[in-house]
Amino acid sequence: MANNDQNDKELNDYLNGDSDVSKAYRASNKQKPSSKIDDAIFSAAKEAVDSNLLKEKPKFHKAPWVKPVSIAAMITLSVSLVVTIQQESGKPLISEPDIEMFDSATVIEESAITETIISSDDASAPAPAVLGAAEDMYRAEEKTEAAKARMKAVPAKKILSKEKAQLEVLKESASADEQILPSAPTGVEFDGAVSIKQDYELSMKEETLLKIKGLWEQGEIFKAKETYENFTKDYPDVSSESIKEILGDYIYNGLLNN
Amino acid sequence: MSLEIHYYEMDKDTSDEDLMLRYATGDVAAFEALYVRHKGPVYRYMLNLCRNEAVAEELYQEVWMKLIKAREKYQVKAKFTTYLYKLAHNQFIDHYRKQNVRIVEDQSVEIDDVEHGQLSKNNPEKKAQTNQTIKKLSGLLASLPNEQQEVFLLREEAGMSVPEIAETLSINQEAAKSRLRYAISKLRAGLSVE
Repeated sequence: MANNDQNDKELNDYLNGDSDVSKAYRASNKQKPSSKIDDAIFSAAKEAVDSNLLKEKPKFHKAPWVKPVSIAAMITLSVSLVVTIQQESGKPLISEPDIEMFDSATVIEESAITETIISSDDASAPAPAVLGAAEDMYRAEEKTEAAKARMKAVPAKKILSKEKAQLEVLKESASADEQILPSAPTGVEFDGAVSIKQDYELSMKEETLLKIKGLWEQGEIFKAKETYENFTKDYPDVSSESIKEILGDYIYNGLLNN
Repeated sequence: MSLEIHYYEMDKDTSDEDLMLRYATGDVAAFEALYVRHKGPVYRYMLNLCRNEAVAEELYQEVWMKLIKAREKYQVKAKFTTYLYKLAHNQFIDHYRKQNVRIVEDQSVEIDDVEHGQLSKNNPEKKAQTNQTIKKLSGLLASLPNEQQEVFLLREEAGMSVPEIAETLSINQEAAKSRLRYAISKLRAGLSVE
């Protein structure tokens, strides 16, 4: 009990600062960390603050709208860049040029040109018969296929202009041929528009003869004779054999005799 | 040198808690002032506990690094010294557990010649006596159990009261008082032995 009291007294004295133990300890313990350690700790403290400042700055940039706006801007720029490049290069926006579509347009244009040639060459002639028109269409299709084949190797616009030029040349040469060789024999093949014209004339001759035959068979003898006379004037080169082949001997002889 | 200048420029009446709060907002000078105030006591606390200078330095740096990392979360719930020495205590305990051995004294605490001179006042006989007392105290302190060493060091270095020691070590006040009582009794008894 007395020992405890002694200890409590010592403790109270110690806590009040009146202790040899404290004096001795304070006298002996004056060690301090080295300046190297001090510097290391100060550097760490400063770096922590600096890095914290760096971390705070990006927070502004990490606003929720930044990412979607960036993506939208990137897409807009990309699209506008592609459009600009394509416009400058002169290519269509659709990547693959449609040669088939261009072929069709060329065919249509070519058919129109062919019709123009026919109508301008023989404007006063009667409308072609169904049979003759079918033959013309068949030949026109053959020419179209040949033109398509040539187009594959040459740019479409150049083909079109070349074809136009060729047709113009053929048109002129056909007119010249008609003047120089008006009695060219049937069946002689000419290239291009010349052969088409001759075919058309042939079909016209056949049609006229069939018309005469029809008039005769209907009893309109006078009209048949009149038409036949015109026919012989228009086509003096047609042989009597050819006429007989279509009209038959009976009608042919009747036209001549009456 | 610049450190000392900063320290004296800082308001000396500024509390530890305010300095720590200022450092948490990025005031490095506040940290410097705080460090200058506490660097010696914390270092000696660790050195006397560890009795190994290299280990003590390592643990000492770790304590301050933890304080730096924890600055943003720091809140004034108690005295700053309590907070600081809790960090130091935990650091020592962690090291002690990792080593799983009692720290062996291999450190002969050097005597500060200047302080020694002040005490002896150029009296060679008294100087020798003081030197002997200090060496003895160092040996006695090292011989104390860690728990008693620690309460003594918290009292001497941090100037803590018994309740503050109890809070720092997470023990009740009676236990803190008891440990301190035994520590003082042993040290006094050892010093009185011729």
